[in-house]
Amino acid sequence: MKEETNLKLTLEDFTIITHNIQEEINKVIVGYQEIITYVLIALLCGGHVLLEGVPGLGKTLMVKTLSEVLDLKFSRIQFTPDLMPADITGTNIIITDEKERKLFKFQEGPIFTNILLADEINRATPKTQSALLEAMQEGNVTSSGKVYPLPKPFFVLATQNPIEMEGTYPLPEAQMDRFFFKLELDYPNRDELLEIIDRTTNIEMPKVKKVTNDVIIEELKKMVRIVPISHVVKDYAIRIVLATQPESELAPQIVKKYVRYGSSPRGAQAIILGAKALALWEGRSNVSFKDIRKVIVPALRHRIILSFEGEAEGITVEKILKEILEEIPEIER
Amino acid sequence: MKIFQEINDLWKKVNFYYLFERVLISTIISVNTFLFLKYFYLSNIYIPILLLLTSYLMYKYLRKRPNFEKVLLNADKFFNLEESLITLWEYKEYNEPYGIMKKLIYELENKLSNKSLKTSYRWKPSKLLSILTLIMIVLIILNILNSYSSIQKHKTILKEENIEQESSLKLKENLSSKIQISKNIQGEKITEEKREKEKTSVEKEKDKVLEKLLSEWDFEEEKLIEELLQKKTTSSDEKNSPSKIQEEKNIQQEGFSQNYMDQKNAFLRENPNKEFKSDKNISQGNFGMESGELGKGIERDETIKDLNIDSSYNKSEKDKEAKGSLPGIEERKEKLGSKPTPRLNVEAEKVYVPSQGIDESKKKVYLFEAPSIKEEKEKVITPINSPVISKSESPTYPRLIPQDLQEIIKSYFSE
Repeated sequence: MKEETNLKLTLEDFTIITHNIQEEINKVIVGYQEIITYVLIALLCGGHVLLEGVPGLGKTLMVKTLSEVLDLKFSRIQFTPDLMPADITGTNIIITDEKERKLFKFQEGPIFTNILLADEINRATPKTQSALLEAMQEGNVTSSGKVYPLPKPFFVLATQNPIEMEGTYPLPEAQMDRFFFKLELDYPNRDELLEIIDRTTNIEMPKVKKVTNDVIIEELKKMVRIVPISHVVKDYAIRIVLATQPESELAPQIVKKYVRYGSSPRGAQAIILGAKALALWEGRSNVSFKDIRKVIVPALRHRIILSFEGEAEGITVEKILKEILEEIPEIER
Repeated sequence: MKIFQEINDLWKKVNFYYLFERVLISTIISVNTFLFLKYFYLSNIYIPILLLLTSYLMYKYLRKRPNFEKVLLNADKFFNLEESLITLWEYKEYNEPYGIMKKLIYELENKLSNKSLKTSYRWKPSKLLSILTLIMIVLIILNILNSYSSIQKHKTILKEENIEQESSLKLKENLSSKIQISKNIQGEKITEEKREKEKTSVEKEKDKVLEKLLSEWDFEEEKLIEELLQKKTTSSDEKNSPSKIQEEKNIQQEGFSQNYMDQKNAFLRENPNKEFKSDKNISQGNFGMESGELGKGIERDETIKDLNIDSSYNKSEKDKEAKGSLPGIEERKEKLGSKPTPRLNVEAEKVYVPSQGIDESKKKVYLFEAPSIKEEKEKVITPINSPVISKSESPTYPRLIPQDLQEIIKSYFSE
C-alpha cells in the first residue's frame, strides 16, 4: 500500500484494501459476508444503505465495526417519533465571544460524521426523515440560509424493523430512492449462531485494526467510477431497468400485472456503479453481465412499488426481479 | 500489442467470411430468380432485369459491415473472458491513471497465451443463406423435371408429326392412285406412259373429230366456240394453279365441248333453222358440273348452280311443264310427244376418301358418285354423223355430300 501523502492507488491496491476491510469486519461479525460486501460497495460508490431486519441481528454492531476498520467518524441516531430535524442536522445557538458580544453559531448535529447509523428510521416523522434527504443526496446541510458541507466520505446506514408497523412512518418513495442499496438481513444459521455466541459471550471482545482512512476511501471511490464497462453490458442493465416499468415494451407480464411503479434512472445508476465496484472488488478490471445480475436485486428492490393486486397476492419484488432476469437476454436479439 | 493483433486477425477473418456469404447470397438470389423465370419460360425476356438485380444486391450487401461486437462477444463467451475482450476493444484508446486497462490487457494476454482468437469464429451459414439454398435446390429440381417433361413432349410431338407425315404421304399416294384410277376407264392402276399414250390417242381422235366438225360448221360459229373454250380455260387457270388439275380440267372441258358439239350437231341436223338452246348457257360461262367440280373441289352450292345445263337437260317433263314455256318445249312435244325421253342411267364410279379420323367401321366413305370418263370417251369416240344418243343422268343424282366430308375433301384438296 502506498503512502497517503503521495497516493496513487492501483487495481491491486483496491483489491487488497477491500479484502482487508472485509477480513477485519469478519472478526466481529459472523456471517453476512454478502451484506458486508454490499455495504462496502455502496460506501465505495458514494451511496447509502437501508438495512432491513428484525432487531438483534447485529446491524448496529456491523456499522460500528465498519467505522472502526475504516477509521471513520461514526454517529448513531435513534429515530423516535419526537425527533426533530434540528436534532439531526444541528441548529443555530447564541454564543458570547471574547468581547462579550452575542453571536449565532451553527451547532453541528450528529449528521456531521462519516458514517451515520440511522437506527429505526421509520419511527421518525416524515418531517425528520426528510431532513436526511438533502444530506444524503447533496452531502450538505442548509441552516439559516447557510450551506454546511458534510465530511467525506458521508455514508448513511439506516435500519428499519419490518415486523413492527405500529407507530411507524414508512419511508416515502422519494426517500427510499435515495438509498443506493436495500439489504435484508436474515437470521443466522446454526453454525453462524454458534460462532456469534462464542465470540460475544467471552471475556474479551474481538478487536479490529484500522485498515484504511477517509483519504484512501475517497481515492477508491474515484477508482470505482473509471472502471470500463462495455456498452453491451450497459445496455443489458438499462433493459432490465426498463423492464421493471409496467408501461415499457420490455416489461414482462408479471410486471404489467403486479407493478405500480418501476425503477427510476437512479436505479440504473446504482446498478452500473454497483457492478463497477463489484468488478473491482472481485479483482477484475471490467464489468461483466454477471456483475450486473449480482447487483440487480439490492439496487432495485426498494425502487419497485407493487400494485394492490401484487401485494394482495403476496408477490414479492424479488420474484419479479428474478423473472425479469430470466426474460431479458444479455444481448438484444 | 499481441491482443490487438489477434483482434485484427479475427476481424479480417470475419470480414472475409462475411463477404463470402454476401456474395453467395447475392448469387443464389440471382440464380433463384433465373431458375424461377426459366421455370415459367421467361428467362430470355428478363435477363437484363436479372443482371440489374444481381448488381444491386451485391452493392447493397457489400456496403454492409458485419457486427463485430457480436463476434467479440462470441469470442468472450468462447474463451470465458467475461466480456473483457469487447470492453478492451471499446476502450482501446482509454487513458486512466490507475492502470486498469493495463491489467485488462495483461490478463487477456495471459488467458489467450496458448490460444488463437480466430478459432473462436467459425463460419456458419446464416438462416437466409440456408433458406435461399433450399429454394435453389427446389427450383433446380423443378426445372429438371420440367425440362424432362418437355423433352418427352417434344418426343411425342415429333412422333406424332412423323406419323402424320407418313399418313399424309400415304394419303397422297392413295389419292394420286385414285385419281389415276378415276382417269383410267377400268379403274385400274396405270403407268404414266400408258396414260400419256391414252391421252395422245384421245387427242388425236379429238382432232380428227374436230376437223370433221369444223368442216361442216360455219367459220363464225367455230370462232365463237373457240373463244368460249379459251375463256373457260383462262378462268379455270386463274382459279386452279396445280398443273395436273388444269390438265384434267382441260380434258374435261374438251370432253364436255365434244359432248356439247355432238348434241348441237345432232340438233342442228334435225332443226337446221333453229338455234341451239344451250349456247346461251355456254355464253354465260356455265360449263356444267364436271368442270366446276374438278376445278374447285366439291362445293355444294356452286355445283348446284353449275348444273344448269345438265339439270335442265335431266329434268322430267312434268317439272318442265310446271316451270312454264321453256324454249324448245313445244317443238319437243310435237316431235317426241308426251313420252319421256329414254334416258341412259350411267353407272357412276364411286370415289371415296380414306377415312382419317373416322371410325374404323366406316373405312370407305363414299363422297359422291361421278360419271365415268369411260362414257365421255365413248361420246368422243362416236362419230359426228352418227345419230344422237341421248344419255341422261338420273334426276336424283347423288351429288350431295355430307357436310363433314365436304370439309375433309376441302382440306385435302387444298393441300
